[in-house]
Amino acid sequence: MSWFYRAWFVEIRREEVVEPLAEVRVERDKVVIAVDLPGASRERVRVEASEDYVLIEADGRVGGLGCRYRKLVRTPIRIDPSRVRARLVGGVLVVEAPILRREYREVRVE
Amino acid sequence: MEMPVRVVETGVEIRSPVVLMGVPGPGLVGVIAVDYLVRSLKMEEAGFLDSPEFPPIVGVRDGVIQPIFRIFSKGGTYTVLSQVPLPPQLLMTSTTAVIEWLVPKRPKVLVLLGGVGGRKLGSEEIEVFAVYSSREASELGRSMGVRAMPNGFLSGFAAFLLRESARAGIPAIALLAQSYANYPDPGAAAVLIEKAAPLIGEEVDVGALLKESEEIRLKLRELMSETSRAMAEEAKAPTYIA
Repeated sequence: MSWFYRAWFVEIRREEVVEPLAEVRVERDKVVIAVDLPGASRERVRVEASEDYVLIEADGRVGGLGCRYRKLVRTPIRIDPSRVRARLVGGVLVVEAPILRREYREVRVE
Repeated sequence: MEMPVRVVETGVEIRSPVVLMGVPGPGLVGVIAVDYLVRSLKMEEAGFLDSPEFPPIVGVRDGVIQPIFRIFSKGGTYTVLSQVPLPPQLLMTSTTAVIEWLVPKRPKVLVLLGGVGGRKLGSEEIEVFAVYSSREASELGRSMGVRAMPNGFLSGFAAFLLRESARAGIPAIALLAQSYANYPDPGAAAVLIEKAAPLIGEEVDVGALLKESEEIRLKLRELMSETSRAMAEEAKAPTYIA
């Protein structure tokens, strides 16, 4: 069915919950998630993190209409939720999540 | 062999036009810029591209279908706008069809408006580079006050358009703004419009574009995500090697 009929609308609908665009990249010691949140203010953004998921919710005001954003991002590698930091830059939320430290034990080769 | 893409002209023909083209790419910069020019200059529909090989997507306005690859005109200017990302081969065939359609009109210049990615988050500085199909085209570019891309290699759609224009004897310019790659970037589109405006001899106020910037970012997220997927597939080769 999805091939047969799929329509998307370029008009903003009131109080619609939208999934924002997001980019995820893994750097040397952290995962960086950037989420496009047009019209969102810092006070209305909520970020929650676990070891392998980051949930972003926000309210925004675009073209006189309110809209709600919700995005659940699965991190490509486990992160330390207690050290996650987030900032809003020009309407883009940047979440920096340090990679969870791993302890390695030497394995004896027989 | 018959060309699988044809240009259907529905408006009055313009001789020696300036032609601006935008297709979905990094930051949707070309699409946003050309769409804004069409709206703000109140350009009229002048034609469209048609092919049975185009993907099964149509625009819908007031319940009636519209082509996805359209041509608009006003005064001495044509704009060519694709609103859907096409597979690379089909985009190249479509561009060849546009160039062949333009040859008898002897265009002054064909300008591709686009983004190159690489804009830092929150950065207000947006640099615009130009690449020219010939010395003649670079003379035209001087009026825009943009920096020519330094020596290196350019690959991808812009390279194809410049090379095919040179082959057809049409002066062409790829005007590329540093933009966000995977988010719609109306700010970069506004800078491009300001640079391209002297070529079409029009005063274009980008204030309204910047004002509706958040709305554009929200409305175009679906097209941006389709475009990012298409770009990831064709990103086998780098765009520019310095």
